Amino acid sequence: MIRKLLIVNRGEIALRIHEAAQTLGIETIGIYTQWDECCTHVQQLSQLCVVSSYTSKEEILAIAESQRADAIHPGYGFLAEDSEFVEQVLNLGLTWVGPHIKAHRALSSKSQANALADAQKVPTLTINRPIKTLKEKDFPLMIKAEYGGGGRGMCRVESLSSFQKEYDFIQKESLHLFGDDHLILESFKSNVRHIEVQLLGDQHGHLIHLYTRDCSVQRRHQKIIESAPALGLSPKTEQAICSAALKMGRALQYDSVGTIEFLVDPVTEAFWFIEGNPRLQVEHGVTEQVTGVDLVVWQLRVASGEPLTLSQDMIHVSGHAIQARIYAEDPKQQWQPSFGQILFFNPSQRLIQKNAWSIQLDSQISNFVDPMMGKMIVHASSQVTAIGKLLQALNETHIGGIANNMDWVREIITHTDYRSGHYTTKRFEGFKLPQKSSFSPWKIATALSLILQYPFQEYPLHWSIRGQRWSTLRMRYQDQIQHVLYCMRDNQTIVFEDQTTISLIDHKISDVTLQIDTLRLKVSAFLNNNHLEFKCEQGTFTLTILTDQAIQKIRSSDHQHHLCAPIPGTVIKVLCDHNQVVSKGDDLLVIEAMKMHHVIKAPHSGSIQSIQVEVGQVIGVGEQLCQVNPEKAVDPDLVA
Amino acid sequence: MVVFSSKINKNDNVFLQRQQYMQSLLDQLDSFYAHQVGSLKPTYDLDQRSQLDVWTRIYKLIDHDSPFLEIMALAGDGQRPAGAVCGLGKVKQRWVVIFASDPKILGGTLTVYVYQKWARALAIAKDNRLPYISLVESAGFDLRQTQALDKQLVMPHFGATGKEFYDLTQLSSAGIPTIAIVFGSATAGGAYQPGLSDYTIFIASQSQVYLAGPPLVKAATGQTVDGESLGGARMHCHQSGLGDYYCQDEIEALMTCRTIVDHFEPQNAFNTSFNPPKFSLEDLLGWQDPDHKAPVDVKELIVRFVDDSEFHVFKPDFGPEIECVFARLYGHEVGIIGNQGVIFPNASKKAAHFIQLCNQKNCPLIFLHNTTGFMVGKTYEEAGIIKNGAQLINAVSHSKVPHITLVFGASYGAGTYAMSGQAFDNRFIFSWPNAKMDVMGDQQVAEVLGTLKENKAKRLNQPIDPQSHQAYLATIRQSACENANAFTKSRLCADDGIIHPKDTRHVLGLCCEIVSKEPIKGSKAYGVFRF
Repeated sequence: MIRKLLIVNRGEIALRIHEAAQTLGIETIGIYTQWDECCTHVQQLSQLCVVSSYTSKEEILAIAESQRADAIHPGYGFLAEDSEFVEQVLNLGLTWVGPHIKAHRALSSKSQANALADAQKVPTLTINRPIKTLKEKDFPLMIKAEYGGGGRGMCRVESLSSFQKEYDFIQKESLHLFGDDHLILESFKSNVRHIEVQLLGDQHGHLIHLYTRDCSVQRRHQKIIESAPALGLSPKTEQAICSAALKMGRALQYDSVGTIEFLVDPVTEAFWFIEGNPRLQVEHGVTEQVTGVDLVVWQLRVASGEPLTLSQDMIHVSGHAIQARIYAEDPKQQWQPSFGQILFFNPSQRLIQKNAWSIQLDSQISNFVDPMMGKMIVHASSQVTAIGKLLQALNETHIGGIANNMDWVREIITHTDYRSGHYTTKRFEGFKLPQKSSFSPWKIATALSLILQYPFQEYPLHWSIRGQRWSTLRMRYQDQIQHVLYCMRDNQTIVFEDQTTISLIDHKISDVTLQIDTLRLKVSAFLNNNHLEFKCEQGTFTLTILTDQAIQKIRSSDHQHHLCAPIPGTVIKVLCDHNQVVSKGDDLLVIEAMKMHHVIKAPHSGSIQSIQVEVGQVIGVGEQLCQVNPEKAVDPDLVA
Repeated sequence: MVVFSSKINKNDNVFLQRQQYMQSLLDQLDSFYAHQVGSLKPTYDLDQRSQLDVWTRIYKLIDHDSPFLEIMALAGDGQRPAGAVCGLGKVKQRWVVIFASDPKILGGTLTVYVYQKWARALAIAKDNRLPYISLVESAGFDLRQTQALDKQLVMPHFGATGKEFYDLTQLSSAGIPTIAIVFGSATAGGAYQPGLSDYTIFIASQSQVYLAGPPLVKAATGQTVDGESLGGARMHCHQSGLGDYYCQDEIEALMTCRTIVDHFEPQNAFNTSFNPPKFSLEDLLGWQDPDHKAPVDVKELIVRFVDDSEFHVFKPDFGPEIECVFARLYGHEVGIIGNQGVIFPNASKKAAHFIQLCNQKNCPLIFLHNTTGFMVGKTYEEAGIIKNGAQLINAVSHSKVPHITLVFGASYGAGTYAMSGQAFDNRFIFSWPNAKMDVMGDQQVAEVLGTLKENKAKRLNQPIDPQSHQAYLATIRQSACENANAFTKSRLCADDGIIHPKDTRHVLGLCCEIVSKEPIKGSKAYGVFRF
């Protein structure tokens, strides 16, 4: 029996575990870091201890002891897959909310898991030959870290020639991330679906599966949209996949919640085991929705030693569930991670779980926290109605200040390929948001900036004795800068140069109703300093209002030729030297932020005047990196 | 609180006719402004250092959302407007007075009209204790005007000028900060504008300030020197020390000025939550008779500009020819004195009483002019109308609360004075385009002068040709009409400007906000007299 549970994760998953524990009468205690004060779990859990990082094992174990916790739930993520940590927990006499250590080890290690699959006659993609014997026909292939996960520590190699370089890089990366440099090789399958089977077992030998999930909508090996059940499989194949998963689970005497992942050829329906996850997964919610089984509650119950009272014939799938992961990354800007503060947060309240968010107003998204801000889970009687529900939820939810992938998700779920189920992991990989060329945000943005900045009150703003006073607003939207000329006709109406008028019909905090000539449009909008964002049927638009002061700053920084960090991160490479002559577009520095490498290029030809950073240095956004003096001094003041 | 019910019928034929008349005046006003407002599109470009026109300068200087209460917009000789803009706007949430040369009009030369505006700007800054910002780019004293004589406004002799420089120093010593941004050349007299200001901002390759420009230096000393090295921004900021801030371009100069103001004492946070009136000022466009012969109820006006359309009448049953009401405007408590036509003794007494009450309550007074003057005739002389008028003028003169005056109809004779006319130290005075102001009506002027002429003819036994006498009377009437016209009055700087009737609430409200910036202290020299 678990009495006091230490939850060693953050945000929505910490909340999910906390809720499940509460339904079982289990006391909980959470952890948080100094960067995460505004994370949802910090606000909602009643007991929390501060740690330097969510993966700081020593601190966590010390807290477990000092707070007299008798069990640890890792949620998902690095700790959940760290067998060493499981062992340490067990050695302290604590309950690990997860499978027994042998099963954990077997699934955490890719080579062991593949051996297990082989033993159970489940097909795999492993290349078990020595590296030296690799031939060009083995390519493309995947290099994976033995203990990798979460989309990290893996890489696709196209040809033999680039193999060694990538191998070394992944080896280094996996040593850095997972503390182990063992790699495995798998042959690469290009047109396949990612389908996984949810398992649930107890310590008394019961093990059931809860059918399939499709996780084929991915980006850089990161799942984005998951659904349950996986559609479009023949009953025979579905049965075969579930049986294969059960066989492997039985062989391990699996006694918790876990997942067995497969790649499935959509044409031949051939399938291959790729990995097993001895833990709860981010997408467990969709299975819960369609089966009605509370996986987290059961995970806690079986961890306490309770027998599983569900039998396989009690598990039925009803309807269709979809989960979209909402990430802090900008699909319009090459998926750059988005950092900063949540300036505005208005989640849909009706359609999705309230506690599926890790963010709230004022939360900080930084290099130190998970870029997944939350997940939206919907359940309906069919796929089409589930999509409808998710669309509504996406439209109703507005996260301001942080670019996110909601528009991208919306494009995908409305895509015919998604609806028909005819997609593989490749289909949406490089999917780009169509450019909404017909919709120009300038005028609406102008109107909104006025409404939100100076609520249209009964006061003569912008007024002059001479009547209509034309003013301009300069804004930046994506790469464009525009000057919008407007004048206020009265306190409710703005007139533009082309005689378009926008009137304010209604305004309640962030919900604004505008009348644009004859069109009445409802938008959700907010303004924070010079950051204006609005969301409407046409999408989400983020603009920066350029004040004269801001322009002055841009101009003066132009003069100095300083390059500043576009995002916070760590400098991982310095590719230029002092006084080196560079051409426009040359790579100067590489910054790692989140999972991406950002190359800083020379904005113009010239020479490197100074380099202000060094490898390994952690930098903030806007921090000066280096200075490139152009070939000729252009400022006459400098010449004189 | 009595609910006011308006008697205005906008579908009435008379209303529509009168509205047409008002519209013709408003068109006149618009066409006047249309010639003046600077280019529609801002001239400033991010990549280009350019000279801005005076309006762009002003709008870049004030807060983006700030109203701009322009003063004496119509001032000018009838050919061209004055080469300077005077007005009030908010910079960093503080009301300031801006006096800006307009180099596009005679190079910003200091004509008599510019002098009038300049003096007015300084007076407003002084009376309301507002920071004073001058945007200097002026060719200096108008040399032409030492010869040319304008029909009605005459440039005083040089010996009588210079008060503006005196006033500028007075502002500073009164603790009112003064800032000068030099946009172009400021020579001789112009040079003292920055010279006497607390803060000076110069612009690279643009500002040139010297006692004598290169031509005069050459004439006086034979020395050949270029303007830049003689009095450029770099020289003044690095050597002479006349310049405090050296800016690369106009925008930087304006932003620097904003930053300077940002470090001034903050002003009261102004009240911005109040309810608008329930009636529209647009209803008044066909309200008045063009000749002001048909009486109108001033409460129709009051109800359309005070908060929530709520007001409280003082002494409603006594002297009804003047309406005295308490109301709120932009959340400020105000006293309003409005004419219902001719002033009778009791009305005069009531108004004098009311002025004292407002002094006791420390609330600003708003005067709404629509009077043909004090009642004349034997009965009224006997009743002491001069005494009563004197009481009112005395009360107005010694009232210490700010007065804001609006001439929305007629304003004649001693009535003009008693209702706090321009000479009676009001803080602001605006007019509607249909307003008329003179010593008496045109018909009365013609009759008086006609009678005098007839009397003289009789005395000299000269026959009077009725036809030429009629023509004489017509000329007089026409010239009197011209003189009383709001446009003439405003052009000659006899008020602060003509406003569109629909802007009445804004103008009076903003004035109210401006005068309420400092704590209001009414005269406490006497207890309230019950006249």
